Amino acid sequence: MNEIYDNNMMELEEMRGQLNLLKQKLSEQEIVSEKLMRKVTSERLSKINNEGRIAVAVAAIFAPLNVFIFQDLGLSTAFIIVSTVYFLVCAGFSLYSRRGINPDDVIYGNLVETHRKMVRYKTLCNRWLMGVIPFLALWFGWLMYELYKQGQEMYRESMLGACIGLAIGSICGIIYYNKSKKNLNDAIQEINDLTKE
Amino acid sequence: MTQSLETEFKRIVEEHKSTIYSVCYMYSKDPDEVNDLFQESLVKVWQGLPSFKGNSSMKTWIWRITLNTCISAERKKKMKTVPLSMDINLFEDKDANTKQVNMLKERISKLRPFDRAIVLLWLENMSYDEIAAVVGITSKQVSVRLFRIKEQLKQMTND
Repeated sequence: MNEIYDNNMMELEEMRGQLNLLKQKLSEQEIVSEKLMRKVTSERLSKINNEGRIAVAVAAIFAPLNVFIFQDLGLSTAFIIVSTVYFLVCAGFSLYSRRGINPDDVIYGNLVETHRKMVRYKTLCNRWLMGVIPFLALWFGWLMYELYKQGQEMYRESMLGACIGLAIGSICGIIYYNKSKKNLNDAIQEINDLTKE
Repeated sequence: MTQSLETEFKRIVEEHKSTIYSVCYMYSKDPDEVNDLFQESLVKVWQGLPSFKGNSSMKTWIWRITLNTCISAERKKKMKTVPLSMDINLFEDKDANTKQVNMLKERISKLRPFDRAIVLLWLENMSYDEIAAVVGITSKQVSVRLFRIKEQLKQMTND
């Protein structure tokens, strides 16, 4: 009698174990919905476009502002012109690189075309970085030279401010870059997944 | 109001998706059927959520909805909806764990739909009272049914 009971219990435990295996497998899975994925990807593209608008707004504010500040500091006209042009080029690049990226296209439009535009945007951003980092290194050196020309006192104070600004700017820039890059890569991957057969 | 309902729905789905999908899987013959039942169950949870008063536990309520959906599914009625599925195909996976799961499915699928429901609830370690609350019979009837089901399962093993 005990043997029959034990066999029944073993069978029950075996079935329970099998059911738990199933639930364990399922708990690791995601619920997949194409509509949800499209919505998430569309939100990523909106974020990319918003970043572009912020970049244009910042450039629009700082381009004239930097003229007044650098003039006040007595920096050379050439330096002021180059700095202003740089801000304007940044704004122009933000608009150009994001050209044609429309979040609504992910929901209603052609995913293949959207994918192509995203990859183009990513390529342009990488090329931009390759150009802008050496430029900024040179620009910073030029700034130090311009400040040095103003005199020792001015140079010392400004050097400290510039180095702090450089450190903070670099850290913020790296954090922002990593977040944007992740968002962009995720968007491209999601579009890849949606267009996969 | 809709935002909090949506958040609550997402939380419930995340917590119970394995249970819902397991039950749908035990009642299906192919991947499309599992996904149809799964989607239908989730739709019914969403539709019923605003009027859920907490008279029973959430777990009991979810089980009730899922089992009712599976037992009374109307395969012929096809609604145009956004397809929902889990990113897994238990009908095609060949790993050891899936084989174990399919052994269970094979045994359970030989039972009548209502008996299948009782067995699944019983394997969830639910008490007779809880099982009775889900399927709508008395706990005494659950006990009798379970005895017969166990005999039937034992018979399958011996065959």
